[in-house]
Amino acid sequence: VSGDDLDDRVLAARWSDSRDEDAYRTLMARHGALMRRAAYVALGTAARRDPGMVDDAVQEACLRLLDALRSFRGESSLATFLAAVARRSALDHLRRGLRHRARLERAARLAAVPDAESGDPAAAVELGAAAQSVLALLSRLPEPDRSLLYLRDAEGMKVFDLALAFGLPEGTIKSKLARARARIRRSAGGEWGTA
Amino acid sequence: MKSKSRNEASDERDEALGGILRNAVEAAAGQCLPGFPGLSARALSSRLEEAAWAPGDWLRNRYLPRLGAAAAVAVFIGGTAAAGFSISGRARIRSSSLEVARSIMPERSRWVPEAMSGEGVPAGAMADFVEGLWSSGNSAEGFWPVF
Repeated sequence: VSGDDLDDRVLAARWSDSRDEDAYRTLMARHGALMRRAAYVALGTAARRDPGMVDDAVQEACLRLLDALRSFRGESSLATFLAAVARRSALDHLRRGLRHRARLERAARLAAVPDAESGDPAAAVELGAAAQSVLALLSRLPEPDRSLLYLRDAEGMKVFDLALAFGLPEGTIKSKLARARARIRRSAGGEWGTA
Repeated sequence: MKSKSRNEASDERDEALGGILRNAVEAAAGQCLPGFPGLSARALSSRLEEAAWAPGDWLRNRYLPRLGAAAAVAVFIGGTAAAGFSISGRARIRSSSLEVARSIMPERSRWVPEAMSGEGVPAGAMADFVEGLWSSGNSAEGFWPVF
């Protein structure tokens, strides 16, 4: 059986137990995009101003996962676990605020570029006005509501898994989701109708 | 189990909103990681073993269950001696751990290669940040999730 066909849990165990790097690569190839999206959502407006932060956060998550996969006990889906690690890495990244010289230089350059939300034409063309407005609405939600809403509604993760990942009761997750949905719909002016 | 089924049944999901969010985020965040540099599995395995479980590593005692990842950090930390870190013991970390770290991370990685290459002077918050990656309690929400 090739690594591509193996279950996430099997691959995670292979990495944790025997440092099977093919298993690790397969997991990253399978879920890397999800981790990027989770990190992007957690970073909020910071990711929009400096997309490089997403790369940094994902890299940090990859580093952490070299070891963190050992702590995955299989009680939820691995995808949720990886998304949670990516999100936490992104938030830690924000909190600590790196002061590396290259980062400062990049930040200085970015500071001269108007935020896409405020109408930067290049960014708007690249991403599309509709997507820009959706991202702006999403960015206005506070964490963890923003990530919860995204991971549940956009990525289809189960409330049960999210409760484990975020360390919150399921009831709290549901109420946060309901509140976030209502808020984003209100902000959008009911444009998207009802599911 | 019973409660899980009940919970799943009551899991509401706004797929219309989710679809919009997913498309927007996907477009903005990029589709995927750019892949990993090609090191042969055999070569990487041996390097991992050498780097992670080398007898006498000072990391063995401090980060026993985390040696694979911590070795990479130690290489970085060793390189930051000019910033005031003690390097006694750390200098013994094999350079192969750097190769492992580089080989297993996404190509688009930036800060670790920058830090490890010695370009710029990693110190202060940057150094704390890297060291803190494997130190529990460094996050307001605790360490990584365990489930």
